[in-house]
Amino acid sequence: MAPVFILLGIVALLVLWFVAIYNSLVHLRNYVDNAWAQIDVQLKRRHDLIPNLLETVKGYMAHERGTLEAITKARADAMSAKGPAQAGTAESALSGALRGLMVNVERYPDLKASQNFLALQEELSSTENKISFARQAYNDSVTRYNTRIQTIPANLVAGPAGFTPRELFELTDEAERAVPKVSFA
Amino acid sequence: MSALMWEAVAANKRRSAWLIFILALLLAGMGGALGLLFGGAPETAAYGVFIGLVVWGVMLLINMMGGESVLLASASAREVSHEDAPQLYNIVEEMRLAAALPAMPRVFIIETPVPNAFAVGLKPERACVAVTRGLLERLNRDELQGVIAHELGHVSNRDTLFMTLAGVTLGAIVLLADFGIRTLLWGGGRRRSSGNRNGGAAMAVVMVVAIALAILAPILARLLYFACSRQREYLADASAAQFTRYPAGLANALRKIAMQQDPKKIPVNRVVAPMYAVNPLAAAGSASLFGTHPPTEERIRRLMEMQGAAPEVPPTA
Repeated sequence: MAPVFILLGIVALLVLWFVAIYNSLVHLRNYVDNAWAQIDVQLKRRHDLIPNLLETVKGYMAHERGTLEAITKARADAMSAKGPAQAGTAESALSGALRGLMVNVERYPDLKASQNFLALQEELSSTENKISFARQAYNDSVTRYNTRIQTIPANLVAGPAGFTPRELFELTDEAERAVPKVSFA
Repeated sequence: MSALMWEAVAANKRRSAWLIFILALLLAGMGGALGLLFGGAPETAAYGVFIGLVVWGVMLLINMMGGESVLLASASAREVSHEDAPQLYNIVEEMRLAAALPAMPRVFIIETPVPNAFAVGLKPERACVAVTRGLLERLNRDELQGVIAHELGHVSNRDTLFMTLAGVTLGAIVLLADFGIRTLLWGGGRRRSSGNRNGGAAMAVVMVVAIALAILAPILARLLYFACSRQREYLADASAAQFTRYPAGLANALRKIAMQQDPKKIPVNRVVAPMYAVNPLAAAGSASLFGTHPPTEERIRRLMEMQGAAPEVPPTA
């Protein structure tokens, strides 16, 4: 009789162990999902701010049609992007286009002084900050989750239970990456 | 992201857990000593420990009931929305995202020219951040972000809960010690009348140790409490560095704030004082054993050390 009970005891312990790991993985995955939702909110907010911004600057910057159209196009691309990797590329392009606009604004002192524009600028730069801070939190949570499901012993549970690694959200900006060229002319 | 910041956070958490543990031991020891003194037998020491715990529990309940609103009201703070103070509200939201807090904290402004800030709320879901008008006027965006990050660091490290616990434990120890010493001076309790005094010399030694404990425990507990508080300040600074990834912002803000403290102009009392980013009641730079905040120069030095270790990335603002 005794060996049967010992066997049953071991099985029960194994089941408990499986449940504990499974639950902790669900916890970590929900954390990742929530962190992504936070980024998503801020990305949408930026998309919402852009028509307002374009409306404000249009009157002053009639000659900069190219810059404004680039932003409209980048916004449309970003809004149709799916998943962290695709969104990362599209949102980087949008950031680049917006930065181009802000550089051009320097040439329009009237616009720079406008109260409406100043308020929009604070909102836009704060939204950029929020995106990067939310990204920081999201990537930290993804790293923690991915490390957990790839290491012993949780990987023994993660595989069969269908926990798959998540993508990091990278904003790769060509302008930031490029090595500055110095020319001595 | 430098490993130095993560390490600072982890090391501080370990130290704080130890401090609380030792405070709890002191409380138990205090209760035991009183039980021994008044009961005169080893069994009564256990009753003493139990009574100590009951006192602690009652004090904790009373403390939890007051809550955030009482503290905010005593500092005459006014709640603001995004429309009232867009930049401040945005910065708080940025930092709450960096800290990954579950909800947006409520934002308050205190109308006083002295620059300072504090956070309250026993749970991260119910956090409140208050800043003074002087802070908003004197700091630039990066510095303000550093200060808000420090305050939300307190929230995400659960410092309000932690310091309430530590404070209540200290209070219970002091109360018990007061009671014990007073009763002893008054006539020695039931010590002399109790009949079961077993073994003269050994018991006398135990009694002397118990009396010494009753006198020393509150002093030791006070020292520990203030050490806790200072550790939590360093921890919040480390968290701020981790959230903003720009420790120099907070360092510059601390420099500005420390120069402008004037306890007469800020609605402050001893309960609220330790919660401020820089203690308004303490003279700048004083490093006393009974101070709630570490000296500002030392905080700035540690922040700049983290800045040196961090990659040279300008702030996003």
